[in-house]
Amino acid sequence: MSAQLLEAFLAEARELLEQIGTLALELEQQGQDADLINSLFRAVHTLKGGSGLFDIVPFTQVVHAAEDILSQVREGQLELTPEHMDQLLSAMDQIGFWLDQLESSGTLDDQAPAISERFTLALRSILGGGGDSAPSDSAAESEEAAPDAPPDWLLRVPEAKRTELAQQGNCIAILYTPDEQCFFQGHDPLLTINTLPNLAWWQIAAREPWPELEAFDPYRCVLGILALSQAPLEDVRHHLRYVSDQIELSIVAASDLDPDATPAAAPTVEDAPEVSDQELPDDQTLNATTQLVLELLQEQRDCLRAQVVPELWTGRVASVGAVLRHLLTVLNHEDLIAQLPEALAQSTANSGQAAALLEMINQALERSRPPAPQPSPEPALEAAASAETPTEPEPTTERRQTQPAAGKDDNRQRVLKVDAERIDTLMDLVGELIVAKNALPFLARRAVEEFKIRPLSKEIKGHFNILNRIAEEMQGAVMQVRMIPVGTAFQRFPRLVRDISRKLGKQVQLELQGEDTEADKNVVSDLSDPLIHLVRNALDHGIETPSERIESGKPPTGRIRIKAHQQEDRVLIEINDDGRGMDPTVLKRKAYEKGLLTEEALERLTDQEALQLIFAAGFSTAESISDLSGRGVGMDVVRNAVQRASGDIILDSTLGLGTTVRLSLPLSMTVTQVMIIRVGDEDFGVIFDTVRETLRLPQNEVQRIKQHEAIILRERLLPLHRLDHLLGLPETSPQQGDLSVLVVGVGSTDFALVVDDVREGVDVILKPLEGVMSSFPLYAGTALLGDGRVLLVLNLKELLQCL
Amino acid sequence: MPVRYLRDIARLEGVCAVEDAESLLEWLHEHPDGKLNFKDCEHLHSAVLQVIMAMQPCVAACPRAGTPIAAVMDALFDDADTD
Amino acid sequence: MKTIFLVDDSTTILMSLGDILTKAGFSIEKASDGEAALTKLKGGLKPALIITDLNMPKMNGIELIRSARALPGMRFTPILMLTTESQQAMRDEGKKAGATGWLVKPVAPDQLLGVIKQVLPGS
Repeated sequence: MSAQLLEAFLAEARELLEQIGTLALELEQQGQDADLINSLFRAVHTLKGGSGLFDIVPFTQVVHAAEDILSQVREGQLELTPEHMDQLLSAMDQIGFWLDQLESSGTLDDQAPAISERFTLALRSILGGGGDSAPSDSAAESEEAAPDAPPDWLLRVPEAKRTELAQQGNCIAILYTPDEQCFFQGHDPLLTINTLPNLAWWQIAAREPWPELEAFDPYRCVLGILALSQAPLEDVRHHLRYVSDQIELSIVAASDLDPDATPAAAPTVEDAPEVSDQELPDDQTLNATTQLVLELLQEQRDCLRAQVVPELWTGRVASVGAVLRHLLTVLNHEDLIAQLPEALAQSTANSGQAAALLEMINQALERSRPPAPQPSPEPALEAAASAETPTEPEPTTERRQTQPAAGKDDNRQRVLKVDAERIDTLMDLVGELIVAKNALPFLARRAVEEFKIRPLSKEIKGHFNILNRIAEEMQGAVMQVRMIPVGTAFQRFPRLVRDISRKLGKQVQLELQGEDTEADKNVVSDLSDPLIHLVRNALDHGIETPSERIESGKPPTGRIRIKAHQQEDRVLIEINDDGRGMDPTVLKRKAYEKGLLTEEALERLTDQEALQLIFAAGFSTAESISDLSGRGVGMDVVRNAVQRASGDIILDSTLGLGTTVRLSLPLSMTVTQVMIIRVGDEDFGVIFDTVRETLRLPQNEVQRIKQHEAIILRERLLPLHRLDHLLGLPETSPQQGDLSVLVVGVGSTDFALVVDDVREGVDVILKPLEGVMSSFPLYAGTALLGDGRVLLVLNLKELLQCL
Repeated sequence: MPVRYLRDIARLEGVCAVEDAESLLEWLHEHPDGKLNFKDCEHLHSAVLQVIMAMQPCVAACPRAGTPIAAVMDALFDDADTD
Repeated sequence: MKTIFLVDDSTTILMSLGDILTKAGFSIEKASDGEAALTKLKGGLKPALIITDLNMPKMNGIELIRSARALPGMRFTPILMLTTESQQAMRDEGKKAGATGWLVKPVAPDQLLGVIKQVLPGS
C-alpha cells in the first residue's frame, strides 16, 4: 500500500482513537446511552475497517475484539463494568502505541503478535456467552461435494452437450428464479449468469406467458434461468451469493449427464421467438465511420451555436465549412455540398448567425438518422438552430442521453484539513508582507527629503495605508485559520482524571467549561503540558480521599473544574479544585527551611505572595512523593512553560476549601513590536513593551558603586549595564559625549542598558530560534527585516539573570 | 448510445441498459415490423431481453460470435442448436 | 468512463478503494456520510455503481440505500454495501432496502473488481 494511504490511515486512526477515548469515558459516566454506544461502536468499527487495509494483523485483531465487545454492548448482551473499561482503554492505548510505531517504521515490531494475543484474549474473556459465532456459511464449507439427485430439467440440456460434459466429470446445476422486483435491487440476472465461472450451458425462458402489451411491465422480472457450471461448488455459490435465496444448486454426477441413462425425448423451452437471419444491406453500411461522421456533424452544429467574439466569427465559419465539406463527401450528399458555398457566404456575412449552415447540418443528420420514435435531443436543437441568435444548447434530460461524470460541481467539502506547515508558511509570508510594507513610509520620506517630490510621497503614503489595511486583515485572517479550540488541550483530561483517581482511591468529577474558546494552535499546544501538570497536582495534592472529605463535611466526590474563556486578547484558563487548599504559613516555613527565603523576606511576604512560592524552583509541598506528580517536576516547570508562551500564572487558595490556578495566555502570536538598537556593528531587537524609555545621558552622570555602574533617574537608582559587555562583543570605542541609554523593565526590576544607537521600532513576526541556536535562551527569537536581514531579538529576562 | 432507432431497425449497441427496455418496448409497439440489429451489441439487460422475448421482433443481424450476448441468443434459442 | 460513487466515513477506505478503481479506469466520486451522498445524488450525480459503508454518521448506509432507490435515476443502479464478516443481519436489511450485494472489508483489489464485473456489464 502506498505511503500516502498509510499516512491517511494514521491521521484518521488517531482521530478515531481520540473519539473512542472521549466516548468511552462519557459512556462510563452516563451509563448505557444508545447513541453513545452506537458512536463508540462506529468509531471502533471504522478503525478496524481502515486497519484491515494494511498488513498489521495484530493491530486489527485487537480492534476486532474491542468491536465485538461493543457490538454485544450495543445488542444489550453485555454491560460494561469499570474493569472492562480499563481493559478496553488500555487496549486502545496499545493501539495508539502501535500507530506511533507504524508511523516511525512503517510496520509493527516482532513482539506485536504476542502483545496482540494478550490483549485479544483479555478482551475476548469479557465477551458474553457464545462470543463471536462462526461464520454462517461454515455449514456450506463442511458440505461434502456428493452428487445430488439430478434435477428433472437436466433433460432440457441437448444430448450432445451432456455427452460432452459427462466426460469432464461432475458439474453444478443451477436453477435461478430471479425475484420479480430484482431489477430494483440493481440485479441483472442475465449478467449474473453470463459471468458465472466455467459456465458450460444455460437456457433462459419466461416463467409465465407474456401478457398483453398494456399489461406488460418490462421491469417485473419473470425470467427463469437454467445453467450448468463446471466450476467448484464454492465458486458457484460465491458467485451467486447475492441471490442465494433465488437459487437452487445441485451437484450432477457425470453418470447422470450421460445420455445413455436418460430418456431420449427431451422437452425444450417454450416461447422461443422466431429467428430471422435477414440482414438489411443499407443497415450494414451504417457502420462506425458513419456514426463518427454523424457525431462530427453534431459537433459542428454546437460549434456554430457557441458564443464567439465577432472577430473570430469568419474564421470559425470557414473551419466549420471545411469540415462540413469532408463530412458531406463521406455521406455522399452531393446536393448539400453544392449548397455549401452559398450557406457559407451567408453565414460569414452575418456575424453570429449561421442559420443556413445549421439548416444544412440538420438536413444531413435527418437523412442519416430517420424517424426517432421518442423525444430525442433533436427537437431542442432544431428550435435552437432556427432561432435568431445562437443560444446555449438546452440541457436534455432524456434517458438516451449519455451521462458524463455529473455532479462535479456539487457541494465540495466545507471543511478543509490543511497541513499545519502550510499555514506556518502562509504566516511567514504575511510576516514578510508586514515587514515589506514597513519600507514604504521610509520611501515616502526619501521622496521628499532626497528627491524633493512631495506629491509622490503623498501617493506612496496613500498606497501604504491601503497595503497596511490589507496586510492587517490578511494577518487577522491567517490568525483565524490558526485558531483552534482550547478544548483540544483538555481532551486527555477525562481519561487522566479517571485513571489517576482510580489509582489514588479518590472520587473525582471533572467539569470542563468553555472548551470552545479559541486560541492560536501554538498557544494551545504550549498549554497542554502545564495543564496536565496542574490537573495532576490537583488530583494528587488537592482533592482528599473520600473518608477525609466526609470528615471535613464535604461530599465524598471531589470536583476539578477547568474553565476557559477569552478576555480581550488573552485566553484565561482556570483550574479549580474543592480540595484541601494550601496553607500560606506552611509554604512560608518550607521556603525558609529550604533556604529559598531569608527571615526578613518571610516577614514581609503577604499570604497571597506566599502562595506563589509554590512556583519557586525546587519547591514541593507533597508530604510523600507519589508516583504521579512527584517526579521531580515541580510547579516551577509549569510556570516556566507558561512564561515561555508569554503567559502568566497565579495561584489562589483557601485552606480547607480548595485551590485555583489561573493561567493567562496571549490569544495568538501577533506581530511583535521591536525596537532596533545598535551595538558595535550589529543590530539587535528589543521587545518594545519592555522598553520604558530611551534617553541620552552625559558620560559623567554614570555613578560608580563599587565595581557596578548605575544612574539616577528621577530619584531612582538604576543599575547600568553595557550591552556590548553583556553580549561579549568587542568593546566599542570609548564614547565621547552622551551615552545612548535604554531603560528597560522586566517584571518589577528596571535597569539601564548602554547601547551605541537606538533606531526605529518595527513590526515583526517573532520566530523562536531553531536548531543549535535554540539552546541560547539569551535570544527571544529572530525576525526578518524589510531589507531581508535577520534580526536577533534579545530576551531581556534572561539577560537580567546573567547579571 | 445503447439503442439507436433507424427507420425500421433498432440497433442495439454496446451495453443495453435497463432503462432501454422502456424505449425499445415503445418503439416496437410503434413499429410492429421493426427489426433488431444485434451486431454491435455486447450485453442486454434482462429487462431488455424480456421486451424482446415478449414482442418477438425480427432480427436483422445476429450478435458477433463469442460475445456474451451471443451466449444469450444461444441460451434463448437453444433448441435451434439441437439436432 | 463509468463513475463509481464511494460512500464511507473512513478516509482511508475511500482512498484505498478510490486508488484501486481509478487504476481500473473508473471515475470516482466520494462522500463521507449518507447525508452528503444523498445530496450529491439529488444534485444530479448518476453513478454506474454505488459502494457504501453501512455504519456512518448522520445517515447510515441502509437509509441511504432506501432513499437513493426512491430517486428516479437510481431505481436500477447497482448498490454494494461495505460490510464486515459479522454483519449478516445488516446485509439482509440492506438487501431489503434495495442493495444489490455486499463486499467484505478489507476489500482486496481482485475481489472488488470481480464483484464489479458481476454487477456492471462491460467492465
